Amino acid sequence: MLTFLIFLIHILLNTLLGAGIVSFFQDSKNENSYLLESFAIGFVLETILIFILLLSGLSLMVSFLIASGLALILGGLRFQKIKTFLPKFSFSDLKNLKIYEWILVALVVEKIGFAFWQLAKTPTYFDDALTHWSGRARALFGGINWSFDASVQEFLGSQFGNKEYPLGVIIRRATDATLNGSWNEFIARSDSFLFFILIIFGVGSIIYQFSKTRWMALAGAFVVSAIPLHFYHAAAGYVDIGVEAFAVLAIGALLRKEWILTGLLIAGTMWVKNDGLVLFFPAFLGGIALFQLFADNSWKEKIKSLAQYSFAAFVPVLPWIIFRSLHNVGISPIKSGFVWHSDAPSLFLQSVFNSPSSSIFWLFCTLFIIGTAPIWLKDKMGRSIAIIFILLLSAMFVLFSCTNAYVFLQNQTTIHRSIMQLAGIAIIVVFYAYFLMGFSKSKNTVID
Amino acid sequence: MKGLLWSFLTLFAIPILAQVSINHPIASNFSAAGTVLELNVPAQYNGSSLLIGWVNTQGQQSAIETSLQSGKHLVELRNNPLWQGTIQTLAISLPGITGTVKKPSFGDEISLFLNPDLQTPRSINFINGYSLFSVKWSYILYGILFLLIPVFYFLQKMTFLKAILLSFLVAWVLFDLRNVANHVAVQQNIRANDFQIAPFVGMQTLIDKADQNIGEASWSQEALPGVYHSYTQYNLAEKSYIRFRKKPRLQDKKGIQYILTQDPKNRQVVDSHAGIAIVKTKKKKK
Repeated sequence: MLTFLIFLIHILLNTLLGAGIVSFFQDSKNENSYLLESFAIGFVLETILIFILLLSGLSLMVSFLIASGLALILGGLRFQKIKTFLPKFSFSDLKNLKIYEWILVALVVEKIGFAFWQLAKTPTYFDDALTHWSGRARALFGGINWSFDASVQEFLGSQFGNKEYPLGVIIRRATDATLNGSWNEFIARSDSFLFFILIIFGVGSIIYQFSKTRWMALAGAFVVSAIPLHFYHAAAGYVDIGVEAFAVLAIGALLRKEWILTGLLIAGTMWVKNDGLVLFFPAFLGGIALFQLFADNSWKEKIKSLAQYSFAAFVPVLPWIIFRSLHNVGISPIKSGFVWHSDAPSLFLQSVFNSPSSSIFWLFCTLFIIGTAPIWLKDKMGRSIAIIFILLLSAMFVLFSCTNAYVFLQNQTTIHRSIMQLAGIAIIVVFYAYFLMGFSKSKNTVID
Repeated sequence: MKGLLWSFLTLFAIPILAQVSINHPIASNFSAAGTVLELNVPAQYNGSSLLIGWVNTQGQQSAIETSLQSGKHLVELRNNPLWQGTIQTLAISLPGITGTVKKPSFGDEISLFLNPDLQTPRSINFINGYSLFSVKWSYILYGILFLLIPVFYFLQKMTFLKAILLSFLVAWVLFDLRNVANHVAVQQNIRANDFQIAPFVGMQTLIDKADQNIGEASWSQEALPGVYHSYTQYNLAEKSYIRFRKKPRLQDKKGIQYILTQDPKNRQVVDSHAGIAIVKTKKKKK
């Protein structure tokens, strides 16, 4: 019970902190995704702040209290502004659901319910969670097997997992355990569940944001919830689902042309997994650059938007980047050059388009996006988000074909959950393309 | 029938053991065409991983892994490209399981489709999927999708793009309904094992014993097989841990006081469970 209470309070504190920050940069009103983005940004900023305070010698508890105090102060000071943009939900919104919408809702609820059941009843089970993520988090919580001193074997919990992996979820889990007074299996993986919720509601709210069409939003939320690997990742303690969550929300901010919020959310991808730095930051930079290339504004405005995005993406994670540089901690534990593997294209196609791990999903999305190209190519934002997806998919191909990651393509392991990170973005692009065809009921849309 | 001793190096799908012997024969000298394997699985193996290996008359060897359900358990092999021709020997990795190779009845086909895809250490990376009448479930969904497009387009008078999208949504709902059924099966399986999941069933006892014995001391572990290593390391992460090094001079000066190992040799064993011993190291004389 205490664990669950801490879980809820921690969500509220993160949301308050994030909402305080969002209040400085939001332009729209009453977008559902602001609530989700507030939590996500608060998650990042709180854990970064705790990281800095831990480096300065403070304990996890004291660091958390300082971060919470900041959240309360900022949230309190900005509360009047926060009230203006947070969504106003009413249960009467559910009254007029059609039968097929109820089916979609029921299927989504099943997924969420099952994920929570796994979280509450099953132990940490999968290898990377036992080692790199919850293993190191437990070492940080215990204190004995953790150090920020690079000269000792306990450095960044490296006896338990790769020290190169970022600390976002590790600090989160260790903090929750500290508040709880002990470690447990719920704490070990609760952020996975939160990221799953962010993805489902993020995809739904973003689709609604541009289409103002309820069935499309529900359909998008359902499709992403039913991605097979999400079933396990929602309660596994891995961070691929975290990257996907931050990336989905970043698309939502990008569609609103809120570049700073986009950058802050991409900072989240970098703070939970190195894929964020290597793949997602550059892809989103490319998407924004493409948008700005054709935008009706001055060159000063174009450069300003790119600078805002880049600044917002890097400043939060700068302490981690500096720390890593000072202690010669790389991005990957494996040194890798570029070597082309001739069988990689066929293996990649097989993995993505003919795997039970994703079934008909990727072939449908890819063909739909390609087939609707004449539509979204005419729309500045359509081009932008489509190119982000294409850049990410291409980067995945290069990564798994030309580096030591090829072994994970060959043995059919990491490739599937890496591609899973793109699922939310793909669904948004599909529905955006469909929307552009003019099937939306609403005329109040963000189309450029 | 001749027994056949197989040794496989670590399969990417099975991080549990470095070497597995498939030496419990089931059948020999039969035609694989259109056949499946029916196993009678004792309750003790519910949720366990089983390796099934075979060699055909051309000398081609193959093996697959499956998660077992107690009772009658059907294994779909018709989609395997090496399940063809005359099979010289078919064997499995666990004793006490009987089986037969047969052509499936209609009821068997439905059972095969409803075979649960239980949670294994591999599930985080890969889902095994299903097949119906030996056709991959994905292909059936594609068929449904392509059949629905003209229905929506011509009969429902939808635009082509809407017809495609709705056809995909219908197919995805069907896909998800099969997965929902599997969620129930996974849940039932986990409940049946008292919320423990293979291969860690019973491992909590080892953790409890290690926790009690180690106390405030330092501990380490010699290379335990596969995911057991990660599991024990995680569950004892709050205790002073020193990575085991084969050369003692490289060892941390604090010294390891307890070691978890499968090979205790002549060392003092203070407790053990599931084939893993908790060994107390000798104190250095001053």
